[in-house]
Amino acid sequence: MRLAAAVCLLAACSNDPPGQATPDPTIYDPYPPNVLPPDLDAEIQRVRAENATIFERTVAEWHALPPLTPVGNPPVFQGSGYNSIRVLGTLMNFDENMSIHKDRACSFCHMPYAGFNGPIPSLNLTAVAYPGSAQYRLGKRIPQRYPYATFFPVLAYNSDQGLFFGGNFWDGRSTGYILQSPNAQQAQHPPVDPNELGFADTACIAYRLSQAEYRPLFEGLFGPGSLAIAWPRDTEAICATPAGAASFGGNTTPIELSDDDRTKANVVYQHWGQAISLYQSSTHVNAFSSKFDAFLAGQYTLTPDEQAGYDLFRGKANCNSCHLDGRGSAVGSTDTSAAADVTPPFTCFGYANLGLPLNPAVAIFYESTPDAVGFTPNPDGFSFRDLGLGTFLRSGPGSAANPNSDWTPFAPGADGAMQVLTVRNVALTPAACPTTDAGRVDAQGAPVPYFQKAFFHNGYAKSLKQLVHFYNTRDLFAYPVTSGHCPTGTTEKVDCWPQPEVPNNIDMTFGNLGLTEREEDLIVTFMETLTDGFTTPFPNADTFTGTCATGGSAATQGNDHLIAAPPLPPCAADICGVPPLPGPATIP
Amino acid sequence: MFPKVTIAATILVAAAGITSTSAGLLPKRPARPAFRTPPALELAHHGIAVLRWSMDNPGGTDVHHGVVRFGDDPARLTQVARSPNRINRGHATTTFRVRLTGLRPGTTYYFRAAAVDGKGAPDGAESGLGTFTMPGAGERFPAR
Ligand code: HEC
Ligand code: HEC
Repeated sequence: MRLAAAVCLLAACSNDPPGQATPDPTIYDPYPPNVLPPDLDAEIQRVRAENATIFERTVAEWHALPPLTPVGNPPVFQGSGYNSIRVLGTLMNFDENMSIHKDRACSFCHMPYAGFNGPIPSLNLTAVAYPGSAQYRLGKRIPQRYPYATFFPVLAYNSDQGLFFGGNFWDGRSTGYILQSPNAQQAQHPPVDPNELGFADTACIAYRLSQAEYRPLFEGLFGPGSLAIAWPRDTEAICATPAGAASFGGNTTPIELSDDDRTKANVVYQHWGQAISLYQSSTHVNAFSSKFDAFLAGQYTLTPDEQAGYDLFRGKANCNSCHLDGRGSAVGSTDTSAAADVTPPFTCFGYANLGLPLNPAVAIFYESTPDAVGFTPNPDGFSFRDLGLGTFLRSGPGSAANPNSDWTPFAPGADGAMQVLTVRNVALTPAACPTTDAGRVDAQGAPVPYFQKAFFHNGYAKSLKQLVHFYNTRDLFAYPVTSGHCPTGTTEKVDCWPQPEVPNNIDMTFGNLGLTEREEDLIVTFMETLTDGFTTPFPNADTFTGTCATGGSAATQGNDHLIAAPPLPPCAADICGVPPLPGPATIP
Repeated sequence: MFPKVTIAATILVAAAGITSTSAGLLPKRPARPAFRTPPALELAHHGIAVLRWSMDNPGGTDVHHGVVRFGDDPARLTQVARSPNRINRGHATTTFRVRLTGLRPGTTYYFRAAAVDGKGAPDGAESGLGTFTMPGAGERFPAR
């Protein structure tokens, strides 16, 4: 099934009668059963169609924009400049042509109705990473929710605290050191990520923009000559060939441009990052329209359960020592202070290792053989370990080069650390499936349909209940086993947490919080008040055409899709053998 | 499932047994934060133990590390466990939890606990010698 439909995708639907398509050798499928969901191809088409709806809406928005009139010096497009760049960034973000096979937009992995997390429930349940334009190359982490990501400052080491703050991505590798915005710089990664949009050359973005229907908008903003580049004849072919192809021999600028044109293409690539970032910093993404925002504005009273959940979040459970809510932590004491911050980010913009187990369902572990063009996404196979910020500081595999050697010595203290993601919008789901958690019933006792998400960088938690239960009981139910091997008589994620993937730097602020079942549920209820769209509809969150799920319980949600980890070979030398070495414990 | 077991979770640390490192090392932080609740076994099972204590909020950096030197010979505390904890600014005391792993069932361990700030500077006090015994194979402390 999977294969046949994918062939159709690549070969623009051949005339083969259904079911008779010959397997396409260009399809990369190194996965054992159950890693990719059976409905993947259908789901890919669904999301692409939903995406097209948003793209078309944005085209209409573009056509309705007032003209661009430069005023003053430096010139400002008075009145219309902001929305013009926002619309341009939105078009870019939802444009499938910005990928090798013209079938993936940025938004494919980040849809508004999923709070900009991944939009495919079955994939969230299994491989957790998303297929890029080269079928089926998948990444190593869940698509990170990005509302409020624009608030992260440029990555910096704070020597007073001995901690890193800022950056985008789970591992902070989008430092922002050039554009001075980690978020703008972030958008420069996916186009040339071999597992995402897949171009071999950053100039392919300028090339595809030069062919885009909205080219006039780009030129109106950045100059009539901004896209005037003399493209060599083979540009089309190069931009349709997946990054990492052996034919490029490691060359990251296979399009042969004059120095002037290369510089132009680089400038276009900056505008690309900055326009997309403006979209993300606009109220279309950073909406501040949740119940909690209304509460802070004095326009909404939290229900008793929501308030109780909030009290736990900033009290007994101590969540706000990392997910800052603008107030002090009230753990073990009372704090009745008012919020000092009326737009609290629910992150400290820092990093921590929560001690999550390795998730053997993550696609990357299986991508250790070359694909049809000779590229191997993860030569380390099951020796791959996700050290997060630590790997980035060592310029390790799957990350980016670290541009500041002064930071490298801090790697051992950063092993396993991942970005403290905002809690805002973690519970955002399509209206048709109003919750993330299985087993809810409405006031009439009818089951509430849910939208399957995946939580934490490796998608290990499948419900918010499980997420809170992990914080609550990680240490209480710790077992020296890997996922899929909890002892008989225990249930994984209920009373068994497999060993952490990275045993160093595990934050001990939590792990045995002593919360009751009811208290866990109240914290989930509180987190749901952080969902945007309460005071004003969340833009473009209305396009979901898939199906919701019902049945089961939040505590064991997704357990029927657990994949047992094979015996793990030791951590690969290019990850754990690079100085400064991880320590004190050896990473198993 | 886990048989109730009695284990020796006796902690030898007493206020008097607390030794302090050099004073005046860390300006602008409480002079030598003292232990308020001595290090004690919070939980132990399947090779893992968590030691927990509270001390005067050391102030300074947001993250401090509990550092436990331990071993099965009181004269040779050769292993080190080190765990980050957030201090909760503005609170009088800070709770430290340190995770020890790779422990053997039924074995008695000895330890000394201390804390350092986010840059590794000592918070000023190391506990006296404490001890705990790991529960037997498959058993847990506290029993449940
Ligand atoms: C194939 C799926 C996929 C595509 C396509 C994709 N992303 Fe992502 N995105 C991810 C994943 C996975 C992460 C987390 C990656 C990591 O940390 O290594 C992520 C992270 C991000 C973040 C970081 C958020 C934060 O809080 O730091 C932003 C912003 C983002 N993506 C925006 C984009 C933009 C803009 C594009 C297009 C230029 C894009 N994504 C294309 C999967 C995707
Ligand atoms: C020590 C700092 C710290 C504390 C305390 C903390 N968190 Fe987190 N939180 C993090 C980090 C780091 C991540 C990302 C970790 C990862 O994915 O590996 C995160 C992620 C999250 C996410 C987002 C997950 C996703 O994939 O979208 C939610 C929701 C969350 N935490 C809720 C909570 C709650 C509820 C509590 C209290 C019970 C809490 N956190 C306590 C650091 C913390």
